[in-house]
Amino acid sequence: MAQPTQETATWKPGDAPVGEVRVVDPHPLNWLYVTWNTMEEPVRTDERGEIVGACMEDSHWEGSTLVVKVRDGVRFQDGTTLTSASIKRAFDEVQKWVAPHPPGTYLNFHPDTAVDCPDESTIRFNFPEPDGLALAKFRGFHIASDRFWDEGGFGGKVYGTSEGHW
Amino acid sequence: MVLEANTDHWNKERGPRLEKITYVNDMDPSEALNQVCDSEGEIDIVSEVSPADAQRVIDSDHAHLVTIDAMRIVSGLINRDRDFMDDVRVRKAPNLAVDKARLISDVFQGYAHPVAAMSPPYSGAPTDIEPYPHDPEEAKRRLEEAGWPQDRALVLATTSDVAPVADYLAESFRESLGIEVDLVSVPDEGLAAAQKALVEKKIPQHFDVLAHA
Repeated sequence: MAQPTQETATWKPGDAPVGEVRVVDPHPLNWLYVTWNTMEEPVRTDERGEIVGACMEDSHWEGSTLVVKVRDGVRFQDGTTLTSASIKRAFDEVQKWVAPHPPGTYLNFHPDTAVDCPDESTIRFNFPEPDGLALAKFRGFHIASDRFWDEGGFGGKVYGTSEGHW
Repeated sequence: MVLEANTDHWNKERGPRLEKITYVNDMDPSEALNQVCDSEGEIDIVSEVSPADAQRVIDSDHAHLVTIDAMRIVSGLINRDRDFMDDVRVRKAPNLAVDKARLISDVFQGYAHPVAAMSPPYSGAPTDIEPYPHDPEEAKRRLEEAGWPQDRALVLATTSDVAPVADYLAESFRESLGIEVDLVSVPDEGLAAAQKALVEKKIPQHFDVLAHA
């Protein structure tokens, strides 16, 4: 039987969003795909797998310290502004976990990493030793509004810990 | 769960294009497939269509089957902490024991392809290596050479989503290697705890090979 014809919608950047799509997604990682498409991260990957800046506009190394320039004008869904403090809070919240990422602890930041925010647009990750994977780890480093963390985060408020509730 | 568009998102190149996405994940997947194949409007997208259901979607008046290169790689995770499993000859034996072409045609109905590494082909996978060939004789020889005891069953664990794969692997191991296989299922209700124990490297894990995706 012939398959229905696919219609190609014409869309261009800046157009208002339209319509509703109803989805049943039983994939065990459905939460991950929602997370990746609704939360901010310092970087994303393009279709070739190359790292591109997201809420991180730029970065450079000073020894084993990674200095991150935060993109101006990023706002969360609740209207609050993403600043260096938002990134520090996400870091502090997730650093409490032993294994925050289902793929494995290789995505963890070093437990002795210290983070400081000289201003709203700058955050410094002071790693105790060089971390060549730091920018790649940023892809799975989810930055949320204060409301997200205050109202439960990744399940921590409900379960006492977020681990195992991916 | 309802996702509403953030029209103030900084990156206009990415959208949002849709005003709202509603996840109806409390609907049973088989009912969802009925809805998408036999009606219009209630459900627009169903993911994870099994290879066994693919033809039904193709034959539907309402649905369109979209196949993509999956992000999932089905693999056998080998536990090197178990007796004999630290021996490379033992680890190669199950790799050589499986007819991957038949696994793809019979279990995945052709909706899969072999890979030689844990990276998908579109994401920097090495291009200069090939998957292990199907060579039951060599597999058996390596296992015997490593001194695998005849009365030692290989413990194969599986999660429910890849249970048909595990069944095929168990049959292959029994047939090609001439050994017994104990097939152990991780119950769905214990999956999160099992994943957590695995990533935290809590040992001992009581399997030799874990069918995993």
